[in-house]
Amino acid sequence: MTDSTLTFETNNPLTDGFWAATRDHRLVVQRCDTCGELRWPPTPGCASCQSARWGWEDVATTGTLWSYAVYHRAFGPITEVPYTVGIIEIAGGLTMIGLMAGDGPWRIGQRTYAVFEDQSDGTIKVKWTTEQKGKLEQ
Amino acid sequence: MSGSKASVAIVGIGTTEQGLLSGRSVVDIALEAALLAIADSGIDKSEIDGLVCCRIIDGSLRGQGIDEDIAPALGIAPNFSNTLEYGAGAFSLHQAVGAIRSGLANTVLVTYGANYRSGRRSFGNVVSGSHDWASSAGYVHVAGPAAMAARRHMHMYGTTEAEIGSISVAQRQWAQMNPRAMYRDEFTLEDYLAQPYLVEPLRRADITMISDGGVAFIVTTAERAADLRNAPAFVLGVAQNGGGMLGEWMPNRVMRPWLGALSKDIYTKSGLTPSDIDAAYLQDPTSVWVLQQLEAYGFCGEGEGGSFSAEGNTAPGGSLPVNTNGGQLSESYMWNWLQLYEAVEQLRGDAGDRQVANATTVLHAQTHDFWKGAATILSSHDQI
Repeated sequence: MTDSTLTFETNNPLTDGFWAATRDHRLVVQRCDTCGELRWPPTPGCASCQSARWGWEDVATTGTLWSYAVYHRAFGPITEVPYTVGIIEIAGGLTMIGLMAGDGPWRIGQRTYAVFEDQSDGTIKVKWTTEQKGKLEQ
Repeated sequence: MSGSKASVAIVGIGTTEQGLLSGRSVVDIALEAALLAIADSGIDKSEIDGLVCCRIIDGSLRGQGIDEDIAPALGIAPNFSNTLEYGAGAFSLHQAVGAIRSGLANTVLVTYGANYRSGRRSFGNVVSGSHDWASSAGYVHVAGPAAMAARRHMHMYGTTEAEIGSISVAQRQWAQMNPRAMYRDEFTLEDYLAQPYLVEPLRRADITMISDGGVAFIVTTAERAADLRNAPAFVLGVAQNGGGMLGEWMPNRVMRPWLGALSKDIYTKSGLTPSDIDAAYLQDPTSVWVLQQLEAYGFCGEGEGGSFSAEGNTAPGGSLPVNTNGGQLSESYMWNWLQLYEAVEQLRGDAGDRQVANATTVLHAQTHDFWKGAATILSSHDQI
């Protein structure tokens, strides 16, 4: 099932590599090929050196929960409530925003693990869980 | 004397009824406020040689209250005119101050009119984070980042939900004495805690209402102000900070870490300290921004904003009245404009039941999302 009506466009060089990696259950972020800085979310150029040369770099599929918010009301596009959004600190001082998988309870500072959830439309969604062996049951 | 003599003052204020102004355009609403401000100041509209408008977000540019709508409607041809996105009281005021100080204008009309409520605008958009990534995670609406910041504050400082609740409760007490306010019913901490979560840990009361309304100001030189009938609200200092302009890579952007630098700047520029401030006007689309600004502007220590509020310091009778109009949480969805209106009324001694005794110097503070902020110190004295 999908929990959102929103899907990312395909054939977008800024995001294609990210989604390809999720099929192998890998997490990648952009790496500037001029200065080496990692960045997220994907942008065409490097904020530090403005270079347009970049590649994808694998990062650990783990992170730390920086904060979280539990939505009790749906403003769209996620329609089922409650749902929890997390701000996850990952490698390289980067943060990702993602849905939390499971029911919690949540605690700032918890170790989090990326979950690659198959969607019914064939896409994969990256969510985060606090259970190491957490594999989302469909 | 701490600071230099003020060269600019607010001499006219005007506001429309707030609430549901069905069928009225934003130009019409802004125009009504403008005429009221002009009448209040005592100047003739022909004296206006500067115009700063603030467009409402969304939609096409025309009919959004921009300067090219307001000037023809008012029948003026100011030398200096521009339109801001999210002028929101502080940024627009600073444009007027800058124009006057640089000699681009002498007397500036600042306007804003909005019809978000009757226009039924949806607020379920992304407020923080790249749109697609945030949207797909359901991270939408201002309540999202506000809840993130609140949860972080609770984790770092032990702030409780009741302490957060005390912010909206205190502002409602002020609103009960404000005839302009939309929400004037009794609202206690028990009422707050009984509300279901909206985006946990926040409740509906922590988020601004949506309403229609207009507001306008006449800003001029201190010299001109001396000849006009109202006691001027002198601008003792202005400051802005764009620490958030680097964008969303900042891991703690929802905490607005650059607010401290803005605070230091405004006090330095004005030659004042937090103890000189008699009342604070802190922009409040959410109660959490009040919490952050109470600390940032030095009214209490870091992490103490919750307990400072819970102890009643910001409520009627407290040591530091905050948002004595009720703010966006209780008065109207006016982006901190009506806090400026209220600040001027307080400095004039015209705030009626809400009058803070001996209020001579106030702070008016603003953020624009997580990008930047603006602060102004106003006083009934042209020098302190």
